[in-house]
Amino acid sequence: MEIKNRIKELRARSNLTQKDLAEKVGVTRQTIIALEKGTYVPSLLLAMNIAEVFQEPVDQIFFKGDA
Amino acid sequence: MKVVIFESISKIIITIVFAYSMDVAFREIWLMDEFDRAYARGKYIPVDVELNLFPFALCFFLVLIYVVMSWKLKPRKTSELMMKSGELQDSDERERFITNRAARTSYVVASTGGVVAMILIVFSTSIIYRFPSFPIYLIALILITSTIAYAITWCLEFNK
Repeated sequence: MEIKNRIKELRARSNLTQKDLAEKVGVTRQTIIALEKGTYVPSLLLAMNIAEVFQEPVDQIFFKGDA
Repeated sequence: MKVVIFESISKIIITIVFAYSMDVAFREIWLMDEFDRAYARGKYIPVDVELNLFPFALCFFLVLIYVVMSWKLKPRKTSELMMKSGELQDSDERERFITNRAARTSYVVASTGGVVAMILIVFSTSIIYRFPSFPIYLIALILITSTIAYAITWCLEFNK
């Protein structure tokens, strides 16, 4: 069981680059890349910041999925 | 990642030069000690002891270059410059996580290296007789291997 997310899809929908999103949530671009690849699980604070940017609930962006 | 690689390589080079400086100083002290003991036994052995300052000057020069380049690569507050080692990156939570993992690897390598070094010293009496500075280089090797372990772990985790 791993944590999956819809960050890439939501970012494309909002016309944001990885750099834009990184600046908005206060992380590096490499962190956004790792999040989209699924190799990094964000902290609760970061997840909530991302949810705030996309104006969606946290559990609509991050969800459990099979490995 | 380039900051971590630069800081790690700089640290390794400075450690090697510093170990050599300590080797030079130690050999001179060893020589002076022999002179004192011979003199105390009533023998006079003219020993010309000179401390070569070149390795120390080189070490100081390298540290200066390192401080300037480290500051240029990642400008930070003066207090951080003094207290924080450059390879301990924490510009965001993921880098803190990566630094955490790399530091753990480095700690394990240093701990294991220390134990291995102690065992090596026990069985190296002939080496120490021929190369009295052997323990200095052994300690430097522990520092270097733990730095390499840190840098490799950091880069691997960063590129995941």
